[in-house]
Amino acid sequence: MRLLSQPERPRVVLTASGLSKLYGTTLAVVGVEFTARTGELVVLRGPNASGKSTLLRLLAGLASPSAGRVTLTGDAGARTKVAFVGHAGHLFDDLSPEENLVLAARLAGADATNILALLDRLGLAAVARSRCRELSSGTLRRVALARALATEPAVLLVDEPFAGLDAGAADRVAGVLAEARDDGRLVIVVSHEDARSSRLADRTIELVGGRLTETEPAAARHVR
Amino acid sequence: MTLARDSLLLAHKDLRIELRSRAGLAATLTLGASALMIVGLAAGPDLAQLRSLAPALTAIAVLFAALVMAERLDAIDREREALDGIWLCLSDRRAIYLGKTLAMTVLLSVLGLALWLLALVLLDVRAGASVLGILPLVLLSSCSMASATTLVVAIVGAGDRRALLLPVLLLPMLVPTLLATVNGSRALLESDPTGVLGWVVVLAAEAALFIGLGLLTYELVAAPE
Repeated sequence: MRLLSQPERPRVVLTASGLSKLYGTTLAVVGVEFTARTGELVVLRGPNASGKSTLLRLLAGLASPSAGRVTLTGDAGARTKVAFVGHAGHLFDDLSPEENLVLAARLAGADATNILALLDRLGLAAVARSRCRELSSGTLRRVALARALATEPAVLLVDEPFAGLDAGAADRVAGVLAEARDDGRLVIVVSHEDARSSRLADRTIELVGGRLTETEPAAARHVR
Repeated sequence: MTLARDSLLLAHKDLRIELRSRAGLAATLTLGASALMIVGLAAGPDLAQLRSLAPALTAIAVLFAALVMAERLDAIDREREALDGIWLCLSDRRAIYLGKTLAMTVLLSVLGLALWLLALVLLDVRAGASVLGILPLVLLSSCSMASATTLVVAIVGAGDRRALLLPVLLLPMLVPTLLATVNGSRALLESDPTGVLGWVVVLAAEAALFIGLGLLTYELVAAPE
């Protein structure tokens, strides 16, 4: 089952040029140079406090860089939609998953008719009409991912998608992320989950102390 | 059209959440009613004095309730960083400002009418049939307060000094609204329709000014840091 009703998606190239972010006197991200494009699934790795989540927020446009810039180039005339799934989930606690997804889809100008199918794909059909306040953190992570996909984004940025999930749910989420990439999106994931994310990644980027130290692998270079 | 549709969707979301939890309405109604009762008791048993105080008391109660309501509506969006998700969905982020203003106008109007009903009983206000004139006054006063409050909440953000900055920045902005509301209500109780109409026009102009200012600046002041 395809995640979206719309088979043709704008092709995009996301470029970070000399990207840095300073919080007070702490450099969270330092001079990151990075390019990714539609059809890639890039995994960002690194130890705690290495700047992964900050970099993801910078790429999403949810934080402004102290230096450098992020550019998103796509098909002329098409609005390039970016969706971000952070630790907080971006959900309204007093709405149900279904209501959260319908609201996000409508605000993004996306088709809201396949919301229940999307929730079902992530194993959330049974809780579609419960209030988010009543759901476990693992369930909320999947709802947050479904919410992001409901907006039909060209770029999907996900922070720790497997955190707090059991093996079955994590496999399901991994499948959905791969499907999102195959559906013609650029997917960038921050993950500590080495085995699962390695299987998933076209390319892995390592951040240490806010600096990009390594870009691998050969497996992804074919994408370029 | 997209801006209007998205604003309505967001206002509907806020009202739906508020109706489910009732946290904001319950808190503001309690605050407003308490203020009316306390000042009523402090003013003593002089009915003429209580009646003359009613317009100012009610307007001030709504004003302070607006601060509580603004915090509550803002908390809905900041909980789980829901605002970030909304921010990325929208092509025109001014919808967040308009939606919040609309939802707050509805909630403050309900509160304002409830407090006026309470004032009629507690402060022995006699308004007769002219009491219906309170509707446009309450509506426009609420709209003016909501549009200014929503903008100031966005300017202040979620910083440590928010509790101090919010009233310091907001209350001076709302002095003209407060004066127009009090004078309009007083004219209403004195059965002076020309006076009421004049203050209604002033309130409409203030609301239009704040909304215009909000539409011009919201995206800039609310942008992520």
